[in-house]
Amino acid sequence: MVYWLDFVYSPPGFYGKDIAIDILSAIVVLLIGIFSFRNFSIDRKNKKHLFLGSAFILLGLSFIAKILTNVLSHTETVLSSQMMIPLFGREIISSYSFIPAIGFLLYSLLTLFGFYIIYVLSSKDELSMNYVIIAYFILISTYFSRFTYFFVYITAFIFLFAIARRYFLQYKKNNYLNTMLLGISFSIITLSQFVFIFTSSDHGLYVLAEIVQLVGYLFLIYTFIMVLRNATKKKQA
Amino acid sequence: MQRKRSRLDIVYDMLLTMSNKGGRIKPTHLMYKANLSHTQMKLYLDELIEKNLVEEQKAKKDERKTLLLTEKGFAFIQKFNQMKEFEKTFGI
Repeated sequence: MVYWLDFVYSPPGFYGKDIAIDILSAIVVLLIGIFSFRNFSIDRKNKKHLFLGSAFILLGLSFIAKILTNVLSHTETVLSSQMMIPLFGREIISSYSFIPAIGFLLYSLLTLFGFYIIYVLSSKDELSMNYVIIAYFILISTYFSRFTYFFVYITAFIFLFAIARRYFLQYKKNNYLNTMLLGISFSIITLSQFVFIFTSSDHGLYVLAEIVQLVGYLFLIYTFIMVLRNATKKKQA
Repeated sequence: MQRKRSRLDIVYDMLLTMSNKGGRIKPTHLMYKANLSHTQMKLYLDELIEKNLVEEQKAKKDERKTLLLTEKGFAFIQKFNQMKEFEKTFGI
């Protein structure tokens, strides 16, 4: 049985621009992921680099899934209305919606697991059964996103809120500027997820959510550049 | 109390000491500056030479050898600094 997701796609005027934003966001997280894996190759004893790298790569893959889903949806909309429906009929074409649906579920699952790993790494908690329980809730959220897509955004919002909060608390302890920038980056991304929750009532909000998301990931890449710049300064000193 | 240096910390200290001396240092100086015993120094130095991070140079037949930091050695210092900054930022 194929469920059609109540998934809000970009308003027609924003086609393509949303994909460009997601490509940029994917590049940012993939860069950080690759950098973290490189760090793990230097210090194999610190497994946190491996986990953080995996988290960012998962986020990168989730964006790739979203990009492909949007490309397929946009193409489907154009082709369906212009050529496909007159040729094949509405029934055959509507079953084609299965692919974007799978894409959205994949995007949801990868995003939530990615943010969850970052959330765990930002805390100092010991390994416990909580991990199994939260993994279960991620799967449940993804399952219910088949019917109401905003479940995913609510869950992502909760994870991101906790991540941003923990980085700010960490900044209070270490007083390190880059940690504060990281907290700001995740706060902006949190805000974007908050806006995504309401996109069903107002499709124009999708544009706003995407723009806020872009600002958040640009801030994240700025933080990453600052990390590299500080390291170069340290070398010169 | 200061924590015990890891293997990676010792390697970094050795390379940084060499870098601070312009990439060229006598083995005895390196031993003192990096706070190592003779046995430790030999062990780590062999590894650094094997990994092409450091080179040995002997100008004349009777002259004592000098250690040179290679391009790969300089690059390692930068990568290590970047990793530490990244760890500090993300708190990992």
